[in-house]
Amino acid sequence: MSANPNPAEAIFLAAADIADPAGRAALLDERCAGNPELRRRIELLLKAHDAPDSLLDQPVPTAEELPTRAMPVEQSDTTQAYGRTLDDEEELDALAFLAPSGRPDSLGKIGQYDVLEVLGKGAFGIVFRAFDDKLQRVVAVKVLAPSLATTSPARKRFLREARSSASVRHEHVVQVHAVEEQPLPHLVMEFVPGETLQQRLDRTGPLDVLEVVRIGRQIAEGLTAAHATGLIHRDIKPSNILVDSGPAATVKITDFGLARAADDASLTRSGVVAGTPMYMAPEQAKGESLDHRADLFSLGSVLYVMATGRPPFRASSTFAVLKRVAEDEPRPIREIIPETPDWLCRIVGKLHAKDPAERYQLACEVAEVLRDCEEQMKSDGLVKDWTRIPAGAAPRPRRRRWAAFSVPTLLALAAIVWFASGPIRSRFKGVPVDANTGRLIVEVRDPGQVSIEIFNEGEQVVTRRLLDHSRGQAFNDLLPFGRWHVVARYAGVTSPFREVFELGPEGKTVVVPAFAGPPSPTSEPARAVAPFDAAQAKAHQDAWAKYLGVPVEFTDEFHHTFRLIPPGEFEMGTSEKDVEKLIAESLSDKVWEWSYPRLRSESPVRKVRIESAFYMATHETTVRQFRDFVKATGYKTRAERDGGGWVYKGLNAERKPDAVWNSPKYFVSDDAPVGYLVRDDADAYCRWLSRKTGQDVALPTEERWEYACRAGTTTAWSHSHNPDELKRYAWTSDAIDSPLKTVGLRVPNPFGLYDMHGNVDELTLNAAGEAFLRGGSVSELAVMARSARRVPVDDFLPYRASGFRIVTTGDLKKAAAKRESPTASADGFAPLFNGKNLTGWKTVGGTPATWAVENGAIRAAGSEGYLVGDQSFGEFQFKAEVRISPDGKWSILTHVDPTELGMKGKSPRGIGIELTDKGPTNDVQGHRSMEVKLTRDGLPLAIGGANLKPNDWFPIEVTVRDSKIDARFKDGSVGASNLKPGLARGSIALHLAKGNSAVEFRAMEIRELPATSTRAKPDPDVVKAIKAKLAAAESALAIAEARFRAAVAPKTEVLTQQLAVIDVKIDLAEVENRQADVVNLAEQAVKILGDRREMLAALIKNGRIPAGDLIGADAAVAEAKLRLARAKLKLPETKP
Amino acid sequence: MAEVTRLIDAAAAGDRRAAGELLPLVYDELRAIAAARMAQERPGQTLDATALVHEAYLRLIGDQAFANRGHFFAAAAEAMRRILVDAARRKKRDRHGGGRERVELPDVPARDPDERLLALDDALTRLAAEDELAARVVELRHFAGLGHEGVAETLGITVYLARQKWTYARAWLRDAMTS
Repeated sequence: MSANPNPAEAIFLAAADIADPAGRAALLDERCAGNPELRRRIELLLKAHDAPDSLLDQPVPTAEELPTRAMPVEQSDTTQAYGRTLDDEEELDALAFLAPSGRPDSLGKIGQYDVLEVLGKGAFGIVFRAFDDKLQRVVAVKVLAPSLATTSPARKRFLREARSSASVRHEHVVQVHAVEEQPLPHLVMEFVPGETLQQRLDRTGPLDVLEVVRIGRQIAEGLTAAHATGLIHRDIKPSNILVDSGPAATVKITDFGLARAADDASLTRSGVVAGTPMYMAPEQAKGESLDHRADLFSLGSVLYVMATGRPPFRASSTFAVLKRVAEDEPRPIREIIPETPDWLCRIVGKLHAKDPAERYQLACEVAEVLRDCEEQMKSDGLVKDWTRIPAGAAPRPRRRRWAAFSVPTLLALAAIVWFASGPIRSRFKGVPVDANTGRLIVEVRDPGQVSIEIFNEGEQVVTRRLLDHSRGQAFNDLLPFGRWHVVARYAGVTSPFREVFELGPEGKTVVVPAFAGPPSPTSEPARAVAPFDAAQAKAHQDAWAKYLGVPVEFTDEFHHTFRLIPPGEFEMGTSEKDVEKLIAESLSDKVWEWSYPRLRSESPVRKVRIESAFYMATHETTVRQFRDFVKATGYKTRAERDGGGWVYKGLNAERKPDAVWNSPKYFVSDDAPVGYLVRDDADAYCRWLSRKTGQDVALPTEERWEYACRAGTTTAWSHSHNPDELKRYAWTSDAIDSPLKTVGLRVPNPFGLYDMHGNVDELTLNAAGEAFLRGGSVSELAVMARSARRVPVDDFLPYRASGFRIVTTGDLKKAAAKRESPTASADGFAPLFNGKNLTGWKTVGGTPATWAVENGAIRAAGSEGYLVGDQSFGEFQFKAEVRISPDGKWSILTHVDPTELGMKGKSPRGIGIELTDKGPTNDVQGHRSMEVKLTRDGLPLAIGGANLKPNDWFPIEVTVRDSKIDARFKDGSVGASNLKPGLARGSIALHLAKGNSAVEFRAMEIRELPATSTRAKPDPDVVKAIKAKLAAAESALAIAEARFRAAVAPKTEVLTQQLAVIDVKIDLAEVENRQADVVNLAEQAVKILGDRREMLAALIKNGRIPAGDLIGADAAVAEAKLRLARAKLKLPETKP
Repeated sequence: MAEVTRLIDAAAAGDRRAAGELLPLVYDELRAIAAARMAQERPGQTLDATALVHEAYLRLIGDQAFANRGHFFAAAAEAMRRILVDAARRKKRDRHGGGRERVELPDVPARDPDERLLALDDALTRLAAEDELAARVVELRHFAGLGHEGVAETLGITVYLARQKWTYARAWLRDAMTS
């Protein structure tokens, strides 16, 4: 012990070690003799020492509490949440194994846990409240009773079950933090202050219906999570349900799987089932094998006891209870509590089916039904919609009304098939399971080059990968619950595919469709005339995108993402009646009088027609985006020039010079909307962006804004009339002048626009060109964030929440130009075949196929053979329709030298487009699968495919241009871009590639494309575009490197980005004719790809990824080597 | 990464300027992580300061073995304290703000957690004047989430002394905050 220089401290510490007051007093008497002041000081310290204080006892403050939320002032004190209190003797016994602790208020230590209090004793051991010294938090520690812990099977099972329950992480399951073996097996869990459901029922008697449903729903949700990991609780009963004493009264299930361990142990000892069997399922009571549906029976019993106050199966002895569970029907709930609604009785009845097959089959199904009832009761006070309620009290298998089922229910039903087909665990066989994860599968239908990104709301990218012409599963793994984005980018196509969804226990399959190709000149789709629902909103967007030949969504180089807003009609504004009603109901207080004229300016309601489609930014313009503009132009905002924006202090607003858009004082995040702006600032931004992108960027008109915001809805907000729901969609109702929130964190409206309500007030223009703020802000009430809400720009601008979002033209201008001359592109085509005879074509000697013209088509049959055209082509667009006999194989060859055709064992040089009938497909009944393969000199470049009916004509269009080849067909496309060195002009040949089959061609047309002249001088626009791409790739690389350094991204991600940078650099070097650089860069690429291959090989060796992943890496290495070889060929001869 | 380890090395070698430069780096990183977390976390989920500090450590230093971690945690503790206190101040200020469209706010509760954090900060400053070591122990334990062993390692004292200092400082602070 080091000598303590501070006497007060030394005496205090010595005294604090003495628990007994008399002993303490004696110590103070001795050490403070003659110094009453010192003694008083030490007594104060001791008093403080003994007084519990949340601030220094609780775990460290949490980050979550930093922004606006208040820290819980005091945890409610411990209650008897874990069962009965021990009597003294048992307690002594229980504490015998604890190690001494240095902490004065501790009973002793087990591992790193300072035991603070004995909470109770369960079926198998003792529960303590303890303090985790390492992680500085309060936990509950459950210790297997010493008597059981000596029995080896019980011990093993306890540990095994406890470990598997640790993998369940769910709001409604008590989290198991750790499972330890020494000194006795024990389990460290989340500490839940509150009481058990049993204690609650003992205290209050039967619960009211809404409470029953609410608690039941939460239990079902917790069971869903557990069952998803294959864990069965086996002992669902009120004393295993904890009710948090917090305001939300969250319900948590505890003791997962432990019942079984306890059973085992007691059976080993006495042959008697431990615990109460009152909540057991019949199959459990009979000792039969059981599955997750046993928990659902028990859940039924828990619902029953909550509704009636008494367990459903009661008897005087354990054996009699078991018999009743197995054989009897419980007394009808309504005999006990007559006012219980029938639907609740029916749900309990279905859960209480003796035969598991007649119960609900999945916990999520029960959760769904209860959630539905709960929501109906909350909004309507009763359950009106009975579509989900099982028919009749006695459950019989009945035909269900499928049409009325919601999608989630159908999914749940579909999942039953899964469950029925095998033991539950097999679902996740061999995959590490974590209970708050769901399975995400991404399937790619596009046969071309597609890059996939999967990221969550925090932009934590799970994967970013490039798939070369691969159809099939791009991703299949478990991810944490939450909102996820899957974005797929097609090679050479500006519009990405994007799907945003909530991943839940039921998992999700995202299908990335094949890129839809150019628009078909169909008639104009229907205009989006409100009202329409969310699905229709999306359908309108899709239909118009298809019609106009533009993407529904695209992202520009300045990171604005835009959604296509279709033309349509809606009713703008709020009726006088509704405005007055709003005033009377929500804003009748005099303090709101100033707002009445503004509210009344929403009237009258008028019909507005939106003439043409436009693109609106999905997000409000952010600080980051505005900074790009300022960096590029040196622009100073009005606030910066005029002494700052308005800051609110008390009732007064005051100009502050530092209240400007980039002030770190006022803007927490670069990804929050930019504020402190006036209309001039927003206009300047739009002008700059217009110049940069060549598009018309502008502020939205009020009409466009409200139309886009409403997205077909006629309610006050774009989701409903209910302001309470706004929380899911918008940031509103914070304190005055609150910080703005990061954009895009809430749910988007039906058109896919985020934060239309709340966050920052958005500048818009009315017909007279006057600015109005729309959508309300984070500091305003929900009623001020309605779709129709408008605020004239007044003297108090700019303030923190004055910002904007933009609209733009996107590809619409180009599309419009194209539509004006729809036939222009078709014009240049010339027929390759006259439909009557084989003029212009000749057969190739030595190839025995017979070629003939039948019904306007060229038909080849018999053995293999070639037909070659007279003309030769360089770069061209070629169209044809093809029909293949079953199991046939056929190809078109281009750029061939006719003399090379038909040579045995050697493929002719040139491009091949090869179609093979692969037989019946599994995808579509009665269809056959057609493989489309691109080859060069007989070696494959790319593979795609499509389904078609037997004897269907298969349209195909091939474009060869600029060292790229692109083949589009029925519902897909394949392409390849590295045709360097360039192709010599050559003939077109048709090839029947397989004997005993037939093929027909018709409607063959070709259009020669003007040769792309060798670039003597690089086109400045092209160079500029490539440089912009390079900058983007380099910043992506920097991000990847930073993420790698932070250990949140694997090295492979860095390599991928390095490769992307090199690719762009090669493009640039080629455009600028720097061949030596091309070679150097290509060498670097080979090296990196080699490194990546080694890394993958190592991962495969460790079993981290499937062996098949190496094939792609090998192919990439080979391709890079080929590119290097070609680049070297092009080097000037002078180079040694 | 190199920057931080270099600074920590220099600080370990007694370069006071390096220690001074380390703090803003760690502070920025922590603030960024905290802000990101605040934005991401769902209500009800909490992420403790310990996790924040450890994430910052991973980001700045990576997963490599590093002998002088103590300096990092010392800086992190101080940064975390500043961040929390700043946030509390800001919240307090925002509450007293006013404006164009008024949102009713409940009365500030008597034992407001922010007030208490500010009081703790204040008391801690006073404790530092009287017993610097005790104050550092509290900072490391309370704001960087270190256990006694970690505190001892960082400050180069025995675990026993770290524990004693904590017991004393806790009583001292409670007393200071109530009187």
